[in-house]
Amino acid sequence: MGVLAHEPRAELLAPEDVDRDVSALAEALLEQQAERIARNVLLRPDVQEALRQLLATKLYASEEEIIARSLRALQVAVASPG
Amino acid sequence: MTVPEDVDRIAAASNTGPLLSAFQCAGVELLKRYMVHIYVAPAQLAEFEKHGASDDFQALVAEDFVVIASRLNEAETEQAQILASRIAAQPTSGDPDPTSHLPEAEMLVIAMRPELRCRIVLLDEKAARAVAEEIGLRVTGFPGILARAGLDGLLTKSDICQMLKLCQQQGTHYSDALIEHVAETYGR
Repeated sequence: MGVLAHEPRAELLAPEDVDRDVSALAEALLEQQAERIARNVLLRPDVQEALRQLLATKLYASEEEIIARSLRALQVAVASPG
Repeated sequence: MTVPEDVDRIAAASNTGPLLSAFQCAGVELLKRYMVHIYVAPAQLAEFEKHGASDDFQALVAEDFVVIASRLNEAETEQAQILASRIAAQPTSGDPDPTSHLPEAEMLVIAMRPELRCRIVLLDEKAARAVAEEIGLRVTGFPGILARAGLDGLLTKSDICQMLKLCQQQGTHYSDALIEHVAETYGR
């Protein structure tokens, strides 16, 4: 015997529902990825020490700002010729 | 398809329908590509049996991919009853009896357990989806999983079309318009 359908009387999805579903799944997967990256990076002692030192300068408001600006600086450095 | 080791996979809770669809079209490996565990409510077990999917379901439980969540406590049971009434009252529910909607309502309550860290709920029925979204849960359906697999280059237009048609042929209400949309928009 095959697998029977679930709740055949219920109204199922419309095409536009699937577009929203794809966005929802992408968001969930991105959230998981962000959590993994944050955990792996922030648990490194060298990163923790660098963040501590940079925060102590009072030039940055938060760890998030330091990370975002560091990445931007790295991006500019890599893109700059010579 | 083998599941790559280095991809991020999420915990989800699933209603019976999306898992049945996966069984109908041999799409379980795609669920494993995106999910690390799928939680179901104890009340759903009878549904898998009733729909002839007991063996497929138990195989996934045995490998710890599908996890049967612990029974609801008193407060959760009360919450599930309220949600079941809300699902039954939806114009798209197709069944005004709240008792019929208890399994999916229990699954929604389980999805809200913080310790399970469910990032999404798998749900194909519109009425239950509407209630899930009202209570702040993120929702996707089985066609959404196939669509994502298409975007990731894992499924062609023809694969998606064939899989959803297989479900449709076995009675799952995926319309021709939906099948065409998912295949054409998301297939490789």
